[in-house]
Amino acid sequence: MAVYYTILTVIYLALVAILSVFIVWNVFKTRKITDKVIGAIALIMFVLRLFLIK
Amino acid sequence: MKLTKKTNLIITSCILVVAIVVGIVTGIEFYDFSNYDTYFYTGNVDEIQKYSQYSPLLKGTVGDSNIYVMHGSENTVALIKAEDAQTYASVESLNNHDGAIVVAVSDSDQMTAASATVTKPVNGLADANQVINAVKSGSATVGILRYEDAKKAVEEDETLAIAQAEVEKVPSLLILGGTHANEPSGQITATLFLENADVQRGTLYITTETNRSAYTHSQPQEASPFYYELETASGSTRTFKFGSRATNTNQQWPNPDIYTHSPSGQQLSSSEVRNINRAYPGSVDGNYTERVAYAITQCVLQNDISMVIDLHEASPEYITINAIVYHQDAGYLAASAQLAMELYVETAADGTFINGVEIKTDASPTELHGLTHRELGDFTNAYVFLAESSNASQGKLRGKFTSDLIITGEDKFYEWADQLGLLYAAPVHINERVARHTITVTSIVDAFNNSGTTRLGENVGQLVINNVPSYVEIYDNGVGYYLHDVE
Repeated sequence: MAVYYTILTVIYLALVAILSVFIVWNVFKTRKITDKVIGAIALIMFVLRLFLIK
Repeated sequence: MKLTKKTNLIITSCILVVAIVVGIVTGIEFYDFSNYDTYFYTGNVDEIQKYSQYSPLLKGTVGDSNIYVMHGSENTVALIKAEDAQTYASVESLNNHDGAIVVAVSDSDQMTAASATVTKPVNGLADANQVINAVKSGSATVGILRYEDAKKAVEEDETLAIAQAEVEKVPSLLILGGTHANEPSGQITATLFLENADVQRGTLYITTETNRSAYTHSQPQEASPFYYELETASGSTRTFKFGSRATNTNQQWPNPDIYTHSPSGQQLSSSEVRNINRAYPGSVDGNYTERVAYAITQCVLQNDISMVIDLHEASPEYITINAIVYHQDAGYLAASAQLAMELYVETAADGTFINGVEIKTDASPTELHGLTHRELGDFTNAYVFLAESSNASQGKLRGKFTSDLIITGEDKFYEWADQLGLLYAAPVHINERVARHTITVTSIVDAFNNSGTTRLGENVGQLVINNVPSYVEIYDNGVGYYLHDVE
């Protein structure tokens, strides 16, 4: 069971990392300031989660 | 607004820099909170056990919490040479040790009972020093004396030890504080006992962070403060954490769609999988919360603990509040404690007349599994109780969530709700909540002492705990008055 959860956590963190990269990409790509700000706010949560802080 | 490539790059970079700064600042705050160790004074404690002694997979993890143990000064114990510790590790080996010369303190109240458990008692020795010297010199293999004297001897001479083998059966109590890290009066009451109790007879076990993992994060989407402070008698402050109801997802993840409790098979909502008070009796190799629950269950079983009191808080709009929930075998103790609390009459220093401490008693539902009052009652021989007080910060009607709200319980929306009669109990100051829990514990102990009989019908005598402040003393002086300054 421990191995299962470890694998699952690695996959989860990989997904969080990939989504974080997509958010950064989108923040650069979008021309709307509001979308950039929303993306930046969302990014904070993803980064805190990625480092298992919150 | 149409952005050029260069402008876009500059604006985006600025926004991301701000996001990174906010991320770092909040990250540091969360990290510091997660790793902050709450101070507990342990000057009165005889022994500190770890959960991992009972649940090995917890070793080295954040949830490997402390169990503070305080032995009664008048408990009768066996003093031996440290090298003989293995020989006297069990009652059986103490009883059957051939050729053991046992000396006894003649003025010990427990001498007769103690002497009866050993092979060759030699009575009539005058004082503890003679016993200690007899063991030291080797003229006696085992010395029977009071815990207070034995402890002093062991502290002064490291070649001596107190035998693990039980000489005298005494009652014991486990106080569980901090089961839910967002219910502060449970933890503060456990801390009050930890830092003040003087156990004369029996054994007191205390946990102040029952689910320690829950103290490493805050309740999601509640915007709760991380800390609150209580002022001590000297005017300095003690800082306590306000955590979450559930185990941190860093220790246990993911939540299943439906939580199936083991071993009952009862199905609960997924979030309850990280609630320790739905995880009892626990499992040695189950999920993280089950392992923590298993440590508690094993602690009760292996130490044959007589009583367990689990201290909680509930929101004022919740029906089970200002209440004692009891396992069915503990009904008469709960009723006796209720009577004592309702008859409590005192006048506080401010002139307030305390005309009884109103308390409800509810029997633990037999089909609701995972809770202390159900599973510890079913799987151990302890009388088990759970106590609830009224916590505005836990409720859903509250306004702004501040550390003042945690302490004072004052909130205009709750005042309004109270005026409209929508609450089961008005929220009150933490002093009153802790006072209520304290009198609940002492009343249950008093009820037990009326018979001194365990659930198995064994007469173990009284559990005597001194120096615990009364309801009116906590009400008058505040709970901080009874907490030690940080050393």
